[in-house]
Amino acid sequence: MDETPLIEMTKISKRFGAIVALDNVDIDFRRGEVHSIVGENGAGKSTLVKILTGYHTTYDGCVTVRGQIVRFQGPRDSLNAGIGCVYQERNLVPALSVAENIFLGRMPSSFPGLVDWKQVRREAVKQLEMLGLNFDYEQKVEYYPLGMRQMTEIARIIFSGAEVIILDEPTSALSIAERNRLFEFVQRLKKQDKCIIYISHFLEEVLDVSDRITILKDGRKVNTYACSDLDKDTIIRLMSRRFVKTVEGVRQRAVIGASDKPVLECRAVTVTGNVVDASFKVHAGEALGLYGNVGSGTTGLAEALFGLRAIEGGEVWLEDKPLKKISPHLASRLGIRFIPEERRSAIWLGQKLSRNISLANLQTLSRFLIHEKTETSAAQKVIGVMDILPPDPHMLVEWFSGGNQQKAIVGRCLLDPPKVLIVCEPANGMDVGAKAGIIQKLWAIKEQGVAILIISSDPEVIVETCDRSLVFRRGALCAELHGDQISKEELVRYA
Amino acid sequence: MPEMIKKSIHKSSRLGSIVSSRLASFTPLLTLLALVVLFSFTSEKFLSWNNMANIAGQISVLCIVASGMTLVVLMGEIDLSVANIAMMTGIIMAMLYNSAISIFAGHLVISILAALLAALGIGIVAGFSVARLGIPSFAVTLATMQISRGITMTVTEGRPIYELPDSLRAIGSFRIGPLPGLFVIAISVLVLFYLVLKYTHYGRYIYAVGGNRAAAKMVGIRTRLMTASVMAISGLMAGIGGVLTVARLGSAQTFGSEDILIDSLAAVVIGGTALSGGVGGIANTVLGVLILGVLNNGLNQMSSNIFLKYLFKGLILLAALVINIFTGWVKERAQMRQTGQTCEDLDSETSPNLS
Repeated sequence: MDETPLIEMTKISKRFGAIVALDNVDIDFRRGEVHSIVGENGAGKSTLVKILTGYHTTYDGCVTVRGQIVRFQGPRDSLNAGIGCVYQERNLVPALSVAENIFLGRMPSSFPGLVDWKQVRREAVKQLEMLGLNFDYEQKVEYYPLGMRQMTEIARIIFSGAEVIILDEPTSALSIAERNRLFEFVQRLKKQDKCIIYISHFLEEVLDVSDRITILKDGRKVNTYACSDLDKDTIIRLMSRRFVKTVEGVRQRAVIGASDKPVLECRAVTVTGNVVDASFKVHAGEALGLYGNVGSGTTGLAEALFGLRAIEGGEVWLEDKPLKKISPHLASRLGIRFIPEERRSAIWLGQKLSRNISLANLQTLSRFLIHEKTETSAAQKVIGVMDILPPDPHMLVEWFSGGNQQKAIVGRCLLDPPKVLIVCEPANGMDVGAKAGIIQKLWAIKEQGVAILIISSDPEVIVETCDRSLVFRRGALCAELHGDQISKEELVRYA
Repeated sequence: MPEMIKKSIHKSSRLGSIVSSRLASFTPLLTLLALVVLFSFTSEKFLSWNNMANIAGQISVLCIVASGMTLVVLMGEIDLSVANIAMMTGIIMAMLYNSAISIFAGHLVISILAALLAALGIGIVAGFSVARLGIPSFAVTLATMQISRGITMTVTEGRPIYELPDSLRAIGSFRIGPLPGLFVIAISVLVLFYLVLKYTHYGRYIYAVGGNRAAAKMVGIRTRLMTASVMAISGLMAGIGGVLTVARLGSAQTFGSEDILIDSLAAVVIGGTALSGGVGGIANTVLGVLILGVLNNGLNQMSSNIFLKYLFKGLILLAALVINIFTGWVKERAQMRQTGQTCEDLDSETSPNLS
């Protein structure tokens, strides 16, 4: 076997403004190996992948492919160099057959403008056989389950000449059986001397499938290890960044006894494609975390509780009434507030801050007509409570920083005190200061007796904000942690 | 990000959105002024009081239909059925008035109300299909356009109806001082819609849903109900426009009002209301209506080729659409820069956290 690495990245650094995403990282990828990259959120995994796939064109350091120094100017360069990245079914056309998808963009033709279907068939059969995939190439892709679509996509990438296949969280939406089939497939690819770069939050899977594992922490490489030298706990220990709490709050789980009535209760709630049989309670003045990796279903569950998705099974109780047919309108009328993961689906660009704040509260501010004065004073109240800077209700919302926008989004939910506040990824995309600010506010809100549900895939956020945390894994509730049990390591271990 | 850069970005994006908003609001005004100046040179009669009143009469119906259309476009939807709903309403009213059914026969007010109910009904059907079934509004209203056309043609076999009471014609011809009564009605409708959009929850929600549907949903606004209601209102306004057209002409025609569709849509867009929704309003529509009114009237005065006006209207509409897209683009860029989201920066915002 050729011992020179297929790809070698030396002294790679990449910064975004003041944030260093990658700091002098050396890493190499060889033929016939599965090389996993693990690290926490923000450790630099995806930045590394994006350099390899040509999305980031400005970086320090040197990338060589097959011994040649390259500098990709775009995704196309990277593809031409034989590096393919599989995004979940994103690049397939559902209404076309497997064969057509594999040949997409390079249909063989015997006459200009006409497709040579015979050759398509012949080649498709050959190609699929070579990869050991025995599915019907004439079937439309949309009829196949996700796992097979993924393999079709991999086949397509390989057929286009890729020798390096990047799998970024490939299993998060797969069933166990599908996952095992994917792993078998990966092993076959390995035998054909391909190089697989594997990125996943699921550490057992990483240990199952990899030959070598590189651990990143805070943009730096910890080291590259042979898989056999590592176990799960060691990986967790090596990749965990030392974490200092920015906010000290007093956990108050002691206050809640078994006899306390919950504000919101889920009884065996099933949201198709997201969670199955989730049962839990949230009490007034308690912050409950729903922790899980991407694909764990927690976001879907939160959305269902606010009526953004359908609940297929189970019951949701608000205080002592069951909620039937939840809609966002009904939920907000009953005192449930929802803060989405993506800030852009919460703020109203091109409008004043005051309007963004009042939008959620027009009904309580006035009955029918809008009074600019009450609107402004309501906004000023929120600005005061949430310490929004600059304290100008008339400034357009897009001129505020992300942290202040988020404060406004949280703050507007409080004008009419809610019973339940559902917050998805409260500190997404924020720097340390802004994050601390938001977390502090969440503590304050909780003390007012609001039941808070915090959905996050960032264990630090859960540790800092929650009295109690549930851990979800592939749609199933798999652990409940109380008080001081909630630590980064524990959360990561169960997820 | 260093403070200096942040500041300069701040400045440039502020400039960006100021330029874009100014461009959007000044272009229609300048266009209107230019047209007025142009036509005052080409025709002596153009600037006379008489002609002004004439224009006012001509644009009255357009104002009413365009008010409904403004709401629809603000929601990011479109209504192609207004012209045919208008004609259908006029015909239904006239048929009912002349029918043998005792509650309608000879009762103008009841006939009008029933006809308006039909217009509203078509609007509700369209609204339900868009909001509940998720069919694009342009496709749905293409269908309701044909349906209302079909009703009109079936019940009349294509023949206009002339047997109408004088009281109806009086609505079309009464004057308040120098102003045509229809124009006064139109102004009242515009003022009403202006106030609704500016001061009521309903109006604010229209802007919010059109501006960011997801955000509106997240705060509990019933976005589907909003969509449906706006389509229904548009149908109703088209119906009112149809009744007033009959009042003005003195007969219920089965052809001839087709222009009202393109004119009302053009008025909204030329005035600067964004087709993507959320930006614009009645003030914009007023400008658009005036531009179209002046253009129609002026070109008729020039008495060159009357068909030339279609060409001119088309060109102005195209220009307005280009400006519409362009200002939206400038604004988007400015907002992106503000939140630090150009193509590569987009990665920079997300990747350190989603790694």
